[in-house]
Formats: sequence, C-alpha cells, structure tokens
Amino acid sequence: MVEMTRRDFIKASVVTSVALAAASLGIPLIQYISSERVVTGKIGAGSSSLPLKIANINDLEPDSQIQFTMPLNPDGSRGQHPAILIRLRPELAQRAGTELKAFSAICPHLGCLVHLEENDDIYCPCHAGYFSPIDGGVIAGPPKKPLPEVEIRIDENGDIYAEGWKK
Amino acid sequence: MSCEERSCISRFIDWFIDRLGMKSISEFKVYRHTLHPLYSLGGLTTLMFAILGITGILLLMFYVPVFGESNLAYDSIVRIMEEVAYGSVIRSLHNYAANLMILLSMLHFLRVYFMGAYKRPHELTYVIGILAGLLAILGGVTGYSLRMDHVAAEAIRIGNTLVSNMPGGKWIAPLIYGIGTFDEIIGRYFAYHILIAGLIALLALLHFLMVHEHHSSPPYDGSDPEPAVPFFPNHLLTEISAIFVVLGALIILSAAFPAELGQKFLPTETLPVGQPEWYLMAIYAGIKTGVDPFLAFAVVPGILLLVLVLMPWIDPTYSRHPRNRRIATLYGSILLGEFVVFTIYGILTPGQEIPLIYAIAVGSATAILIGLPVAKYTSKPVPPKKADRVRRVRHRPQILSQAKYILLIILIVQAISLALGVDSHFQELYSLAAIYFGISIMASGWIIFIAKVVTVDIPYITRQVEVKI
Repeated sequence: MVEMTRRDFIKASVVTSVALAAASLGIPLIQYISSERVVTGKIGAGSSSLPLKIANINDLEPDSQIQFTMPLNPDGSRGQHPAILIRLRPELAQRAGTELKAFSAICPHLGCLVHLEENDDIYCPCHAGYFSPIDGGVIAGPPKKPLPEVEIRIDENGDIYAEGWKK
Repeated sequence: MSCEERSCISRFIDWFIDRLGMKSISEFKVYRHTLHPLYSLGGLTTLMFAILGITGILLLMFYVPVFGESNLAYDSIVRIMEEVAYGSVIRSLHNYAANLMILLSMLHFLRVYFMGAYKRPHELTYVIGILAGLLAILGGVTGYSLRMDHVAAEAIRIGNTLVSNMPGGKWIAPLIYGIGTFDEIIGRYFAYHILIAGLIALLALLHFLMVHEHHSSPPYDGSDPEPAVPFFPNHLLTEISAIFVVLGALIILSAAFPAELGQKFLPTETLPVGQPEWYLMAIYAGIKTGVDPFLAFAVVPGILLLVLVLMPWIDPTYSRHPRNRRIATLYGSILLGEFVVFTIYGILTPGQEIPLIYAIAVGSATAILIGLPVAKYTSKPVPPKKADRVRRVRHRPQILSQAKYILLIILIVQAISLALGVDSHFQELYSLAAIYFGISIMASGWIIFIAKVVTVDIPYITRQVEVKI
C-alpha cells in the first residue's frame, strides 16, 4: 500500500467529498430539467359579454346563490368581477318585491368574497361584515359602502341574464 | 517552471485570482469579532437569495403565468409538485428559502440595529439594507400570489382593494393591476417578481461593496482580539462549508416537508378564507381593527419605518453600546415587541375583527411591559470598556489527532447516502432520493470545514488566558 502523508489524505478526502456532493446536486438537476412541460386547458379567458346568461331559474333553489363573473367592473371598466345571483327566501322576496337579486361578490371593505348565509344575510367571512340581500346595504361589520347591484332580467324560458351594473 | 515546490493547482489558483483582478481580496483580512455567529446573518440572507435565484430559474421552466379559462397557473404548480422529477423539492426549497430570507434579513437588521452598527460611516449601508429587506417582502408577496390558490387570490384582491381605495389609488391601481383580470394580474406579478429579484441583487452588491470599503463595524466594547483571519483561503472555506451544510439541510427539509399549496382558486367557487403570510400578519392585524385601511397599511407602518431609517441621524451618541443609546434601544425594543405581539394576535384571530380598543390596550401594555425594563436598562450609561486583560495563546485542539478518522467516517457516510440516493432515484422515489442527496451535500460541508480547521486554520486557533496583574 502506498504511504500517504496526512496532508495528502485530507486533500484527497476533500476532493472526493466535493465530487460526491457535485453528483448529489447534478443528478437531481439533470432529471428535473429533462422533465416534460405539459400545458393543458384553454389559454383564452372565456369571452363573455353583456347581457350574460347566468343560470336558469330552475337551477336555483329559494334561499341559495350562484356565483358568476361580470365582464365589467362596477365603475364601467373591463374586468372579471365576481358576483352572486341570489334567489331570496319567500319572506324576503315579499319585502323586496322580486325573487331574484344579484350583487357584486367583492366586499367593499378589503375585497374578500362575500356569500349568502342560509336563512341569513350576505356575509363576508374575512371580518364578519353583513349585507342585506334585498338592496346590498351594510347591516353590520366594518364595511362602509353597500355592495353594487347587478341589473338582471328573466326571460320567458326562465333564463336569467345580467344586463349591467345598476347606477 | 516546474510544479515541484508548490502544487500545480495552487499555482493555477494564484494565477487565476491575479488575472481576475482580485488579488486585493485574497489579501483581505477578516476581523476576529465578525466570526461570531451573529455576524453570519447577512451572509445567510445572501445565501437564501442565491438559492431563490437558482430554484426560481428552475421553476420558470415549468410555471405557466396564465389564468386562462380555469387557472392554468395553479395547474402548472400541481404538475410541478406531482409530475416533474424533484419538482416538489425545488418548489419547497424556493418557498422555504423565501421565508428564511425574510426572517434572516429581519434578524440581521436587529443585530445591526441593537449593536449600533449603523453608525458612521455605515449610515447608507444601513439604509440600503433596509430597502433590500423591504424588496424581499415585496418579492415574497408577488411570489406567493403566483400560486393562484385561495390564499393568493385573497391576497391579490385585498391588495387591489387597498391600493384602489388609497388617495390617488384610482390612478395607481391600474398601473399595478391593469384592468384587474387574473390573466393581467398574474402576468404583471410575474414580471414584478423577477424585477424585484434583480433590484435586490443590485442593492445587495452595493451593500457588499460598502461593507468591504468601510469594513464591518467594530464591536461596541472595542475589543477585537487578534489575530485577524485571512479571507483567502480560511474564511472563504468557512463560507463554502456553511453553504454546503445549509443547502443540504434545506434540501432535506424541503424533501421531508413539502411546501403547502392551498385549494385551487376559481372565481365561481366558494373557498375558505386565506390568511396572509407571517411577515404581513402584524400589518394585517392593524387593518383588522377597522381603522381607515390606508392609515393601517401605509401611514402608520411607513412612519414607524421612517424613524428606523433615520435612526443613524436621530441617535447622535458616539457610543455603540445599547445601554448608551437610550432612544434607539427603547424605540427598537418596543417596536420589535409590538411586531411580535401583533403578529401573534393576527394569527390567533383568523377571519375576525380586532376591536380597536383591544388593539390599543394590547399595544400600550406591550409598550409599557417592554419600555419600563428597557428604560431602566438604559438609565445608567456604561463607560467604554477597557481592553480585556487577557492574552491569546496558540491552542491545539484535540480534534487534530483524530481528524483523519473523523474525515474518513463522514466520507463513508456521504458515499453510502449518495449510493442510497442514486438507488431511490432510479426507483423514481425522488423525495426520498433528495433526502439522501441532502445528507451527502451536508456531509461535504462538514468535511471541508474539518479539513480547513486542521490545516489552514491551525495558526489562528487561539485560547484566552487571563493576565494576572
């Protein structure tokens, strides 16, 4: 066996160790880079324009909601604005004079998504803001502005359309 | 010339450094006091940034910055996590390094602040460091928004609302968010995220050049035991070994505990409420008190931060000792306390309001509980410490004689873990393989470190001896 000096031994072990570490980094990297990139799904956003068909009345139980996306923001600019269509429960429908209401789903406080609580009001889960499902007004919580309302129309087949934002 | 006297490799290294124009760096000495672990925080932040750069470039290869009809961005991340080999490890590494970079830069800031290291001539180094730290947080925000899970969508919408509602927001918001469709926002955040990385790199470079020019600030008691350690090769080898050890440890962590991914965000689905990342939680707690959001997220944090930025000029004392810098120490410790308390308060109240009166009570209580002891601590200035009455003598650590065996053992461990890693790799158990590879990389760090200690470091290993008067 060849005699090794102490210094040579230390040098050899460092060089070996670094080579092993390089392999430990290189093998995963090469495998990662050789992976395949697959993109599935449509790249274009679904083009939607107003009036926008949201749903059929038969798909919507009383006291429930459907989410949809308005192609315009309440200030009239183009955008993807989340909104909710609500079929009021009977006692509220009586007060509102209509069964269907639609509002912006974005809480005016911080921008969280609001939804209709069963047997209750429209609720923002971020900081417990409550809005009236009749006119979108603030009932409780930190929001100061009401939810903007969406103009809706129902045709003879029961299809519900969003026409635009109520001024 | 022959290569007999000195090895060819070391002659080549000399030539290389000379022609790179870095001879002055190779003759640079590292002060003893900067070898303390507290002085490594800035360097570790830089290491995290380097890891982020490399893993970020790797992620660019598979990420799809498009929302499309059904959130392609999120789908592409799911693919990275589940189908791309080592994709889960790379993304988790990016995620952990991002959080650690922000945490380490905060700790580095605290070290600099409380040790008074911002004092002349380091004022601008300090300001540039704060700017880079803020950019790191912005990089974190734009980065985690790119996931497009329910947390990201929430964060984007809250950000958009905050910016739109602030004074002048009507004009500023479209510049940041475009017309506000997710396709626009993802593309823009993607661009900002990379832009921010470039800006951080520039600021960090400037920061280093300034530290190099002005040297690291001396310790506040004026003690700096000799001898200084040469940067090349001693300190450089320490840094290389630290890079290997930290990188290996992070790889093991990322493979064992992959980063989380929230639920897929779709505009037509109701999703759980997301919470912001920990570094935004204190500010978010302020927003949750229901005061004007602009006040809570911009005005108040802005003023508090401005005081920190101006501290080198506010704190006029000559001494660096925290006891002698009453204003700075009081302000810093109370602010740190409030940050921690409100971060915890925010985490404990997910999806709830924090009544303003509670917030004020908790804030005042924190200020008093921290302010009183710190006021007492800083009431009596301490005179500059006299030079230690110690002498340093050469010291021969025990490890020297056993070094050979220790190196051999670690080398065997490394070889075995590499072999196990390769085996798992070919079985396509990539996470398991990454753990073994991580061990192998860590082992390499320790080998470099031990080899360095028992060879080039020997003349610099000393031990304190008290001097009897």
